[in-house]
Amino acid sequence: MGASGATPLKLVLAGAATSAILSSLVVAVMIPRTNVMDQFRFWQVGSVGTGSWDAIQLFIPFLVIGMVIALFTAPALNALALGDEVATGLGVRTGTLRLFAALGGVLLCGAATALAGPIGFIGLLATHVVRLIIGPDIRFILPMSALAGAIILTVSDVCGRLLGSPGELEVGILTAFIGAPILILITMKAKMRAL
Amino acid sequence: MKPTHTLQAEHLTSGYEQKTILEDVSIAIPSNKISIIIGANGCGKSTLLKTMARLIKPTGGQAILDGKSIHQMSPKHLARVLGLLPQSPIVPEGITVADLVGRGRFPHQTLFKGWSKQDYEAVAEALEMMNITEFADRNIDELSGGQRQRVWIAMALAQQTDILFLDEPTTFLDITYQVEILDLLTDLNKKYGTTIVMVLHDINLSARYADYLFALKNGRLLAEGSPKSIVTSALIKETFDLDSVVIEDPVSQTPLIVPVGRYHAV
Amino acid sequence: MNETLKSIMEGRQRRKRRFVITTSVLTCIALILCGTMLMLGNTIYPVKDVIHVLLGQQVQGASFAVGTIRLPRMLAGAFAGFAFGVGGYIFQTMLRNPLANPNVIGITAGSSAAAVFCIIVLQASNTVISIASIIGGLATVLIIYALSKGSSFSIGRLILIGIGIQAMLNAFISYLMLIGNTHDIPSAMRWLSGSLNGAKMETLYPLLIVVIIFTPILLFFGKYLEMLELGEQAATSLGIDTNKTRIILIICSVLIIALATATTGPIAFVAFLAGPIAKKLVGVGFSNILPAGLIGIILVLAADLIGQFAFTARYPVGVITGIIGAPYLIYLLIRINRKGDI
Repeated sequence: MGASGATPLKLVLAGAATSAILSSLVVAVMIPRTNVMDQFRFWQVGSVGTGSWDAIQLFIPFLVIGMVIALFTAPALNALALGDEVATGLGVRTGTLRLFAALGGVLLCGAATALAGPIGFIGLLATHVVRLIIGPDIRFILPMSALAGAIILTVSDVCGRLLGSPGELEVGILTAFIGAPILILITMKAKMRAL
Repeated sequence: MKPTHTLQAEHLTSGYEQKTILEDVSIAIPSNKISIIIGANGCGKSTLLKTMARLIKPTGGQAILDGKSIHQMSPKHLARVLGLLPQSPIVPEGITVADLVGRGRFPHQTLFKGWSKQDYEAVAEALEMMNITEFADRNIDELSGGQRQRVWIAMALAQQTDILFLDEPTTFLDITYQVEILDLLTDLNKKYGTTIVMVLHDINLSARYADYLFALKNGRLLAEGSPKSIVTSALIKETFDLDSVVIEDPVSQTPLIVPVGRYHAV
Repeated sequence: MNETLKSIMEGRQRRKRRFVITTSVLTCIALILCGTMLMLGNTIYPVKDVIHVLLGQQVQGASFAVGTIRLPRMLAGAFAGFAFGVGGYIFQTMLRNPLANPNVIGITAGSSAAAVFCIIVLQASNTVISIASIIGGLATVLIIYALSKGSSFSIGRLILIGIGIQAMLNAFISYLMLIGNTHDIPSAMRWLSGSLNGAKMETLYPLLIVVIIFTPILLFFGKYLEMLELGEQAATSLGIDTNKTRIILIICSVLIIALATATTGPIAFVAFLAGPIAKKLVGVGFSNILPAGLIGIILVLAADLIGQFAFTARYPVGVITGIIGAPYLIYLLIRINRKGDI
């Protein structure tokens, strides 16, 4: 986004504003329908407890297509990490690349959210951990992050069930409470000139 | 003519976070003269300027204006004597040139009143001095880099301080504009006796326009004095780690530094 | 010299005239909407009756409907709208970002989390809920500001830490909604989208008092805010104690926003929309704090009228402002996209 590239700050603010608008749309839809409201509050915390084979079948094509797109854009994303001008100099069409990379990301995130509800911070945690371990090459970060994400989510789910027993503490709540402090720590350490 | 002030740094130590950038620097700024601070990137020249203008709190020592520590003076009172033009001030979107220059009048205004006659006059004078009267009603977004820089200097002028600090006022400008800006600042010094202290990258322009130079290296003062008395190839070697030949500038008779490099021998 | 002087004075006069005219027009519109709020309802009362009720006379039927139901509703909307508009403008200017709004620094999430906690876990009374939500909002802002202070203030850090804290609070709210009783959910929902329903005179006083006390202070500091716009260093060299100024501005605007949120719940996007609209109408050069507040009033009251009467179902005001805000957000995002910076 933007000629000077999408700084994290711009994306974050744009995201916050968009989600505020969408949530008022959600409320608008729900207000006349109390039964929907009841279902929604279960969906919106984010949980894998409601998974079913039907849902997973629907999910798989999106996962595959999204993953393929993501893996194909990885080498070019490495170039883009050096900035738009450098990437263009290296022969990357930045606009097209952004479009495809975003498409891949949206497909994957959208499908996952439809399946399990909004589970936050997995993406942030997984990529950060992987980057710390294997370095900045996106071609490797991508598949490894996928694995790391799977590990973090399943571990969190198990922890949630242990912590919340006899019921369960939904995994979305758990990841938010682990992920947000880590985001804050990263932010406090980061050099803010980059934003 | 502006009154004479004494402005000194005494054992000034300063930096960001845990990193000390400036170490134990003691200098006295010559009143009613143009002083320029030179040095390699990261040597602490900007930090020195900002610490002396109260923008950074020193970790040791103090900056003293007319016998009083500037960090103990009231901000508004100080702002009537000492102004600083930062390297990258922020342009409020959609503001007109006259209004922006008018913001320099803040230290002279009371909160409830609008602009006084003096405010209008100061703004008009600053615009004329910088040759930007034609832009007065224009939106600042429409101006070029060189024009914009003149607007910012006009804002600092409208503040009507006796001492003016400028942090790299010519960076990113074409050579034509660089000379123009430095000429305008010299006008200001000649006409009103304003004490000017600035950080400049270009060593040759510094040697030409400065009455007095401060050379810094690794956060310490290396040398000070008039350009003619201190600029030698030995000083340049020590300050910038660069081999050079120093000749006389045929135009201004000030020292002119000609770098050597690896491919050319003297 | 004299010519320059004259042209500068004329330019300044012109902008001043625009400021005065726009502010007057906005005041008129706000007043008309206030009147409309009192007249419209299940029964429409003529202006004469409304004025009589306001003057304290008894009017058959109208006294109850106007005095007990519509007046508190109108006042809640007007004062909360003003507070959101002023607070939003101050935050946007201070953070130099049209996308910034009080949500970013956690007031909304903090207030809502505290209120929902009181409703669902403590089953508390309305007074307790209001007090808790004010404290929750203020505490959240304090935590975010403290965490983001570091050695030097950074807007980026403040915003990102705000997002992190909010994520936690929102997860907490979701969790509470999940464990709550079905019959508590609707009253908890009010905290997720603002509403003027059920505004009562006695719950309004804190908001009224705080807005009346702090608005003059904020207007007084408007000039300081303008200097802050030039960036940390320029403001300091113009003689401003930037930290002190920022803290005063934050405290005052957070207080009025927190009270407005405690009274009406978060009315989405008023804080976000009012500032930019004011800037567009008035231009730069004069403090837009007052116009932003007036636009806040207009937005809230107009949205509430639409929500009450335009559809078959009655929608709370927060939903309507959210939907009105959407096109503006899209416009803003496109513009940012094109210009490349915020």
